[in-house]
Amino acid sequence: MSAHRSVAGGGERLSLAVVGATRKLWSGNVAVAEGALAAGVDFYAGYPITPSSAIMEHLARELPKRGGTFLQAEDEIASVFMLIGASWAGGRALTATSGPGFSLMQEGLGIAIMTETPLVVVDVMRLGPGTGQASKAGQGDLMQARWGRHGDQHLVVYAPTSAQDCFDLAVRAVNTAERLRVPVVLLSDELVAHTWEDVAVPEEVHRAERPRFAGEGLPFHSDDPRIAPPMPGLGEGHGVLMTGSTHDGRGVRFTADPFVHRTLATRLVDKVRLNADALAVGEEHGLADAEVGVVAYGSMARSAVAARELLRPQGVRLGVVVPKTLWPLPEEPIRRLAERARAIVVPELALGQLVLDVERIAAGRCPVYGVGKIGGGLPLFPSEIAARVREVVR
Amino acid sequence: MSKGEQGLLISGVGGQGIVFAGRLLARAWFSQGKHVALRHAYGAEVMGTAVHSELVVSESPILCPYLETADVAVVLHRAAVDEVLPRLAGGALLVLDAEVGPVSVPDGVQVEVRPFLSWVEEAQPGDAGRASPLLALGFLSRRGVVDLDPLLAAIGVDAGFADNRELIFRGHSLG
Repeated sequence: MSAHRSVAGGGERLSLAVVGATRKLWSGNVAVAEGALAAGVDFYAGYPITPSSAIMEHLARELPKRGGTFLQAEDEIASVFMLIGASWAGGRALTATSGPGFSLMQEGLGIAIMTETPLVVVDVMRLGPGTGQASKAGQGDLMQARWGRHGDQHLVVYAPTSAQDCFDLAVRAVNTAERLRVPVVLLSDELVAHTWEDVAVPEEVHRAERPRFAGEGLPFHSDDPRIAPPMPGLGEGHGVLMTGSTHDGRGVRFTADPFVHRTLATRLVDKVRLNADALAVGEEHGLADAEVGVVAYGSMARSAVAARELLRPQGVRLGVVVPKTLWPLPEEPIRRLAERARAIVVPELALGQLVLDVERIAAGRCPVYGVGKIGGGLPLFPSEIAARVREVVR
Repeated sequence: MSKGEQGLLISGVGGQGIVFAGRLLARAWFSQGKHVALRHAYGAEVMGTAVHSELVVSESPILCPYLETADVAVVLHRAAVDEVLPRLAGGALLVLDAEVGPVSVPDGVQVEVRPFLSWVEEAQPGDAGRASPLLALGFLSRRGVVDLDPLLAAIGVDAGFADNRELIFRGHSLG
């Protein structure tokens, strides 16, 4: 087994960086915008906010040139609802924001889950709560990305570690949204977003199509919850009922019937939960002989992988798991790491969010230690992670 | 830094062209097929406070793009010097503008002082600060940190092309 492998469902390649690709020097934000364009995004509505604004600026220039529509909305609430409308009109819709704007979008995301509307929200994390330190890196939105809406609901959350990931996962996010009729969050952070790096851009990328309603089936019913029902488009000649209230397979409101609600809410959750193995992606480094482990995402994954190289000459065998979906998490490699390792360290630019999931997955197989660093946008450097790993190994 | 990676810091004050210099350097290395990572100041700090461009360059993929310690650092304004000194790697090359004044550096750090700002003040009155990073890049090319031709190519042919080339040549001669 190689020391480093990507984990993606169905044996597909995780990275789109292939031989023959064109090299670009892009920031993470530019790579997100270009990935969205490559995936066929043709509608953007948003409100500028640091540190996500470069995505909006790039798409403001590029979308109209490519036949798409760009709108600066009056706020983030309007932005996400414009995405819902554009998506039902047949568009591929994406917006980008940061902490305070992401909070405002939660209501619209809940409606999008309930109405099974494909769309992508990019949240470039900064330091909160409130307006916090607006231009500085943080990773405090993980739980909000997963659980920010009211009610029982699941969506899909991707987390890039590099500019290359920003391109690749933007494509993947759009495709997942379309294929499953589910809103998807691309959870970046300031460090990833503002670091300029090499990006290998393939000549073309696969574009998944949403299931289209053509008069057969029901737009809000699927016998197999893993498969999204066919979606009618406005203006295609079909009567479309669409509501954020509980509805049956036709879209007709049933706001008191327990069976209708139970059936709908369970199917919406199962659509993500039963596809978890196929959706979960990540990387693993050196798990086969790991004596100690690190689980890290986003920008901190880069420091964790570099820490592994620092520790190797010191005789410390560090295994690293990098989840690139935060929901669903790639649980199997984390579980495998917990079975092997004497301890797992979870570095975050937050005061303990991912660590809670790692504790749940490790389930007592080994101790799990969080390392949080917040303030000023400073990363946890490889030397800091290596120092903490040495402490727990001792 | 991981094995084979070199870290570089260009520092000065907001409005001086530190971000532009970082981008030029990144483009020069990138055009040679090297792996490069660039982070630079943005937002409120770009006018009037210390500003840094942080670069990592390597022949192989970069593991961690976030600069912890610099192997080469250029400081073009005294506002930035206190933030740079703690970040120097052992044996680093520290290039200072003469107006920064005397500094106390860790043992093993090689210090080069050049009159970038004063030279530009004489040659291009009124635009001293904004030209000095290009002189410094020319100086770095003479020291082998970056090759001269890709650096010149990175300037492109936009407005100021000829003046910028001249500044890089002049910096090269100061090496």
